[in-house]
Amino acid sequence: MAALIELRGIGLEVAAPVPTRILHPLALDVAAGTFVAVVGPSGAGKTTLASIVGALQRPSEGSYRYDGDELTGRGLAALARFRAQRLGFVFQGSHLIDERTTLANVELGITTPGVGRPQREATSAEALSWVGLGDDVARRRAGDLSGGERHRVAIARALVKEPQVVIADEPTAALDQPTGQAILALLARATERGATVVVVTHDERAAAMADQVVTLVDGRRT
Amino acid sequence: MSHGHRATETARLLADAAASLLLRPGHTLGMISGILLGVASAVGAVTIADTQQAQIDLRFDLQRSGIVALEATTPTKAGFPADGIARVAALDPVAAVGELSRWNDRATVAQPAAEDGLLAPVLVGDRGGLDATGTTVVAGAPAAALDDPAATGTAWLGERLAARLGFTDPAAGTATVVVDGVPFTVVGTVRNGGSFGYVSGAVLLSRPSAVAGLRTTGSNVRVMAKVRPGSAAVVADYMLAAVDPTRRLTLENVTPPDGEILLGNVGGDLRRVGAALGGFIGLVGMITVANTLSLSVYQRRRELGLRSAMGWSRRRIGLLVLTESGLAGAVAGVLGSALGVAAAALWCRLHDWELVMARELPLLVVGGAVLASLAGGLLPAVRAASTSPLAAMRS
Repeated sequence: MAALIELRGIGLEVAAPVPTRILHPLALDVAAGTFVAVVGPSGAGKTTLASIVGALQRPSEGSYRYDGDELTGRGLAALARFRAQRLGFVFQGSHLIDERTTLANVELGITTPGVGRPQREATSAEALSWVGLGDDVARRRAGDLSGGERHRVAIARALVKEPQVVIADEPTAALDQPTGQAILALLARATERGATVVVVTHDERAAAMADQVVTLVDGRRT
Repeated sequence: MSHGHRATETARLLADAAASLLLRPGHTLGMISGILLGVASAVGAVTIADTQQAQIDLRFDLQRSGIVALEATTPTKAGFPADGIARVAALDPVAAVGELSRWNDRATVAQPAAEDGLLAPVLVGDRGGLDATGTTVVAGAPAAALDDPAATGTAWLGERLAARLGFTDPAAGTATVVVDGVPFTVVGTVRNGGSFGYVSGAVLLSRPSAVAGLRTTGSNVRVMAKVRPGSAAVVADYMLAAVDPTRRLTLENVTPPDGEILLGNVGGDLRRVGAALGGFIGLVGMITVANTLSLSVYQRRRELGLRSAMGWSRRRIGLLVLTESGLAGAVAGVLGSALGVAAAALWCRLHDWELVMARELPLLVVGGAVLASLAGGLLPAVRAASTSPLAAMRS
């Protein structure tokens, strides 16, 4: 199967405040529709790799081809369009806007221009339903949700635009074991919708569920 | 992007900005307070200045250059002798001459069924007085009817007063207006869009009507002449002798040579003070918007980073913050206008003045408030637009 994501010699070195190598050049192929776990100890460069795969920051070297198209060298606006069209994110802290309703938070994930409010609400409700949250939760303030519910909402927000790739950064870090297991299962199930899922995690259960495990230590792939 | 998509996205942006403002009421209130106060000050001060100007006009308009005004210091019910007026009218520099006197500055005027009346001036005049002051009959009985000595019990209403009293068709001849408890049949409406604007807010009676109907005597008796510019002093001297050769009325020339300049200076100064005050407070408001919005952008960097990570362009994120500032400015403008008008109305009520306000003023100040708020929001918008998508990953 051809790789959806192809990294060749991708690395990151920052110049300030002192020249520091964050990620040593590495190669990585990710096939479409797979569940990939990026594991390793703290400071290993897992989140940096995820942020490069997610086009949140540009590498200082190497080549990043996505579905055959070279991404390195593209401008910020082009990368923003790329993220809007292809990627969904689940962050460690779920990052909901507490004052808004659950449904409004999920709506934020719809980046396709010209989608009217009724359609946005219907699509968002459907995404919430997919992660197991009903209409009662949809109308509640996000600030009133439990930790597990918040992560489910974050996953719904990432999936609502049906992205090709979902990148999740430590999605189970702050959750108890059963809830974390449920969230991982939910992310794994996203591959059934055709999404490729890249999970950055310390959680060994994620590695056990993954089609592919990428291990990083001190910025190097091992 | 198609027109339909653009409209949908604009609506979404507006809703998003409005939601952001509503969800942080403390911030929003802090943001709009400065501009709101600025707008209220500007509207209040300018409106009071305009109203004050109208009051000055009421006292001084009769004396503008190009107009000669003689006032009888001895109260008289009979008015001016017709032959004296005719002698003045025959003069070459005189375009029109006649009476326009103030009978009562603050009469109670009402519709018959109304419980409360309004305070409005009662004027007494004739066709010559109307011509001399540029007053026109908008509808109803012509100005010549004012000169009919047999016609009593009739009145003309200034069109502004007619509207305030709620007359729908005052010129039909079927309506009645009660002036200080005395009913008059309304036979027409008059308007003065020029220097004698207070006529539009007054009741106009012919002298026979006033003498026969009203129990009080007039507060002054004035003859007005519209003259060629530069001839006022000479005409005034002649009029003193021509109108009252026997000195029965003890006429006094009340035409100041520099009335126009005085009016312009006083009114202009008041408006400038109001505008400067509003502008200064508006500037403070703009800085408040910049500060509050900067703080808000700092506190929302995770949210803005999230939007950026999800693919929002820098332009769209900047536009969101700018839209928030614009909406806050619009709200501040509308509320400030209302507050300013209310303050001015209260001021006028305390002084028994009729509120005078330029129609375009609220629109102008709301526009100014939006512009000031947008200017204040510019820097925070640029900061918001430069939020890295990594902010979501790192926080």
